[in-house]
Amino acid sequence: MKGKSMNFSRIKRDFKRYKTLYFMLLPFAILFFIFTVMSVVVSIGLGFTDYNMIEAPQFVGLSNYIRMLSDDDVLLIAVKNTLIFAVITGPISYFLCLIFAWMINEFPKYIRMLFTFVFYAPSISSSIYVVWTYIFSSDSYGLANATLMNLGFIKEPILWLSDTDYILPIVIIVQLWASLGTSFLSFIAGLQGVDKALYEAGAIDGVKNRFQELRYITLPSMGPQLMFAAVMQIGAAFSVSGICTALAGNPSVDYAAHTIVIHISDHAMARYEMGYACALSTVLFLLMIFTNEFVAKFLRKHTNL
Amino acid sequence: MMTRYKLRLLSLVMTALTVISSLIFSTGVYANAEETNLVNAFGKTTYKDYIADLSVADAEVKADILNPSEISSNGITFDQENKAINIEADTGFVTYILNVEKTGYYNLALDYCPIENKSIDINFSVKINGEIPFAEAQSLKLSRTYIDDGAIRQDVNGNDIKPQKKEVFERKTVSLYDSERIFSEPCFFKLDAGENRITLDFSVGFVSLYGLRFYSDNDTVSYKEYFEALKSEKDTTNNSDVIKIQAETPFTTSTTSIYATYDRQCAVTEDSDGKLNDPAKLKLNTFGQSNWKMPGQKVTYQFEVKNDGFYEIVLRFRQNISRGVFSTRKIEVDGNLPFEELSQLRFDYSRDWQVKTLGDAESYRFYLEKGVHTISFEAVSGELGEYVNEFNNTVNELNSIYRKIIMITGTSPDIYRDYDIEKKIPDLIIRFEAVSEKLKELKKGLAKLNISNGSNAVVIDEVLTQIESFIKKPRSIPERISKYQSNISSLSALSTSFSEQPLEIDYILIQKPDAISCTENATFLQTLAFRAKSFFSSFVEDYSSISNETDKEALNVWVNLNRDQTQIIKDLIDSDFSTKHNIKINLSLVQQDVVQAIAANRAPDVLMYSGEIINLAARGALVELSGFEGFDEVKSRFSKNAFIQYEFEGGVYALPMQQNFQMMFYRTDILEELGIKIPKTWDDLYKAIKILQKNNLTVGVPTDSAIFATLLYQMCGRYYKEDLSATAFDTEEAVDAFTVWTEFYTKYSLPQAYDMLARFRSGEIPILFEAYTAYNNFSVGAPEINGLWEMSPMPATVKENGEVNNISICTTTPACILSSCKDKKSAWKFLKWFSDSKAQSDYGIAVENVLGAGSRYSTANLEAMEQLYWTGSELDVLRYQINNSTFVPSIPAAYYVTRNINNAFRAVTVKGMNPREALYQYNIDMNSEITRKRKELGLE
Repeated sequence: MKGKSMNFSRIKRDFKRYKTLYFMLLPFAILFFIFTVMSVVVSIGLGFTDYNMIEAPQFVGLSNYIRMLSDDDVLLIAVKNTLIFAVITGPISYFLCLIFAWMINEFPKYIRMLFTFVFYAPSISSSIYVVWTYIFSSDSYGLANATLMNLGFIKEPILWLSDTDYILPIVIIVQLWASLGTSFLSFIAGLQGVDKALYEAGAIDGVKNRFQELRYITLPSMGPQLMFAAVMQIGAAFSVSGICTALAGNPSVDYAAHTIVIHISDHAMARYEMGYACALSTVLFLLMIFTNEFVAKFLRKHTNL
Repeated sequence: MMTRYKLRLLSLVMTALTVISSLIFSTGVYANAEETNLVNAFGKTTYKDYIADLSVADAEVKADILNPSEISSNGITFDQENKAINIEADTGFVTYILNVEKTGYYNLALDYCPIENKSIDINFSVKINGEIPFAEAQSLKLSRTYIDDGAIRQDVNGNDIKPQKKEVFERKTVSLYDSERIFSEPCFFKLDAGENRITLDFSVGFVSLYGLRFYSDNDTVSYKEYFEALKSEKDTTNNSDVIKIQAETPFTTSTTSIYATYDRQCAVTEDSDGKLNDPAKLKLNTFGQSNWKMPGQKVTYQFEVKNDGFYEIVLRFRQNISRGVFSTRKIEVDGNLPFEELSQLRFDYSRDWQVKTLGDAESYRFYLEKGVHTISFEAVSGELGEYVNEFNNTVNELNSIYRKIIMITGTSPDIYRDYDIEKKIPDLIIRFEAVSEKLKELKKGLAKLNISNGSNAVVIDEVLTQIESFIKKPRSIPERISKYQSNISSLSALSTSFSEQPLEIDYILIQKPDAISCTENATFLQTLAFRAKSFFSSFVEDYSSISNETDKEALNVWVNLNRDQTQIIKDLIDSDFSTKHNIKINLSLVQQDVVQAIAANRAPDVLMYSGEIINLAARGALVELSGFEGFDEVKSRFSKNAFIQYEFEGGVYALPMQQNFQMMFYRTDILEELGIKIPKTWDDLYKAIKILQKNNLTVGVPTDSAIFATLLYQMCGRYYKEDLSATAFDTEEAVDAFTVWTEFYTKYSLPQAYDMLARFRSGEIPILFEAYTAYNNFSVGAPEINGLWEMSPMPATVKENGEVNNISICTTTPACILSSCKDKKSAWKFLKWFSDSKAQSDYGIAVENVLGAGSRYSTANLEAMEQLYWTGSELDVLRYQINNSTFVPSIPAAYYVTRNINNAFRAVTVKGMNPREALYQYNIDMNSEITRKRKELGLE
């Protein structure tokens, strides 16, 4: 009891001392509360209703969650695809970001800027990935088809984005291509921020090569950036949807590129089942928090975070 | 030593490979090329050839207009009082027998007055002794006359509103020109001495004829002669004789599609009051722009001259649309061409405004007497017109060669194989040489016109270089065939750009020579000030609201269209609806889904051109319509079954606005060349596919489920059970239809993805099925094949008893009233007004006038469709298909049915599954979703 009131008075004292800072935080805090916190809370609430966006929601208890577990075959496909995505694109893209950032960091300033731009460009021009629909067009004059046919590998055009064998791999490739985004930038920033004296000290202490340098000096001192990038990557990997729908259509043939987020928007927009969609997003939300915690623990162990 | 050994090994392997591959290929069978003779699509005499030995007869022949020798059976009446013959029908003909004294070439003049009809030019062909003398005489036009109904008005925000156009019926005498205005002189017709039968065969009528006269007009004057003749006239003009006509206020126009326009860029462009451009408000301050590009479009201005004397004419104009080319105008004063030079005046391209004093080295002096005069500007093809034809012919020839080649090599040739093309197509090299000669000639011609620089030249050069290297190395053709095809497309795009004559005029000055001078463009500071002002005023001005009704009681109408289309609806509301009813309409352009608006309690009262009707209705968001007064009458405006898809549990929840259905499009030239009959049934189509595929061509069947639906309903199957509680895909008909549909891709291996326009114009896909609106894409997007293709109804399924079923499946876009609407009666009145044939056809015509023929409106109102710019024969085909069409009912889970049909389709065509099994399997999914939805909505 005593401890709690002590705690409270300390918060009060801190608040008085830093009130300008809190005041400066206010605009963002308000927006964040309205558009993020509120919608998360509301969506958790709506997950227990049958809301269809037109009529008033009715409380239906756990039936959305029961349906999710017992009667939604497509969800299984979506979860499978999302996990494939998360497992393949998440780590690969994370390490690609790291390796590219590390390599680019070795260049002189202007070349570094140029490469940074080249790698970062796909992710700032948000829907540029539609160029891939031209490359993987099912038309026999599509780029990939025409090339393969000219080289004599295939005789009939491959329906890249309608053939369930090809859809997922293509989407994964495009996702990797477009994923060198924020985390890549934060890695570059992190690499720049490493104290140069540490390398010198390392050299004296017997670091033999660049990889040892990377393992024992660079990475441990980049903890915050690695953490930030991991959170961003996990978020991105779990919420893949734009690329899938743009390339493979909505929904894709036989749900071959159906992810949880697509499944959510399918229910919310096409099927007028906002309640169920909210329940799904609650689960996705928990899944992402859980993964983040797991990764954070791993990173805390291996860096100076 | 080591490297040498490696090299030897490598060469050994290479040799072995070569031997093996040559063995394989030598046993291969060459594609079977059928020797067929090319039919020249342009078999008719062109006007150019027709007048090759022109000798103008110096005589005149008049027809006795009230005494035709023959007339068509209906729609023709005689007006004895005014001595006129009235053609009051879409089609009809009149024939006169003329006694000609002198053999020779004559011009033809008609004295006519249009009769009220839809705003389409009168269109007819001239036959001499039963034959159309030259290709251009197939379609000749007489224009109508329109005036602005009132001056330019301002809305409540102070922005200018365009006045409506109104037709005036004015009798006039005109000489006939070719409809593309390629030739600067009126058309000549050759008449032999003796009796001649002259027939005017109207395809679009509604005209009174007062006179028909063959005459010869040989005395064109040059400016020199004109000036010499008038030099001695007395000149009483002084420096105050300056008349400024703001171009945005025309006296008359020859079509409704040219009108006042906005220039929001230049600070010194003057509005209709002569004031400099307003940075804040939208001012109608120019005339024409890209609308004024079709040859034959003519605008006339009226002005009054105070003193007799010589005047010069100055124009402030802009031609910033046809890059690298020029636009041409013909100028007439008081309805006459004063001198030869004015028949083809050239307006060059520039990004900025230009001021031009009519003249060459010196300005032209026009002698004008005191009084009222008119001056008119008519878009003509001018010197570029001839090139358009030549280029189109060249493109056609190149495409025909392309087809010949792919008939041997296929569209993706094996580059390691020698096809011996030059031997298989003996005239290949000769034809290429002819094309190359032609192109060189055209290029020289363009150089003379001073426009052969820049992108134009690059396109022609590229084609030339390629063709020349083809001639030298015919073996390289197969591997370069795709580049060849893309070269053809760019050449065809070039010819389209030559045929357009855009021009924008700010004002016309008629003044004593050099009285005042004009500013071409704003100075840097003026521009800066103008831009700054318009930037800051954009914070306070609301340009986005289409309506000015801020009233709370106004009916909120959302339309999912583009800005121009919405503006047209707004104009119609202002001019028609608001004057009849005391209902205020607030029109907004919204492309978002309405569901979010409903959730936010901000739903509109009326929603048009969007909305998932059944899903909204099932959740109580829509108003049931069949109870409103006059519903039955409204219902009768549409196709018989059009309401099936908007019915839910016995109620009707929407009206159809646009309607679309598939038709068959085919290339007449190619089918004729290969001896293929136009497929009337699916069996005919299979035969056609076989012949086409033998020639490496194919057929385009879209993979969209509309084809499946069409086949299903033709086989007397159906989508859903009677009570809509489940699909009817477990029937034999459904399995048959699904099998037939998938066999197109499995058995006949038709392409599942293709660019419809590109392959239709190149002829690779000479038969294809598309929504009927593709008609517009083809006619606008591929002008070089105009006249070489047609549209016909879908192939039919023939039953065992010989009965044929031609059904095509229709889809429509809806308009509905939302339940949150407070004044439902007014909302219904609005829908009733907008869906009626007058509003629909007015809207459709206006859209086509503003956005061009490519965006012809596919109205669901059957009467209104007849009013749009379809020709009689096109309408016949459309009418036939509409009478043979039906609709698939809609259910709440329809989205799930569509996606699973697609899944089943891909499972068969891509994964090779058995069609019956695939349909059965996916049908289970569909039905479980349908049942689930019905339970959710309390229907079960």
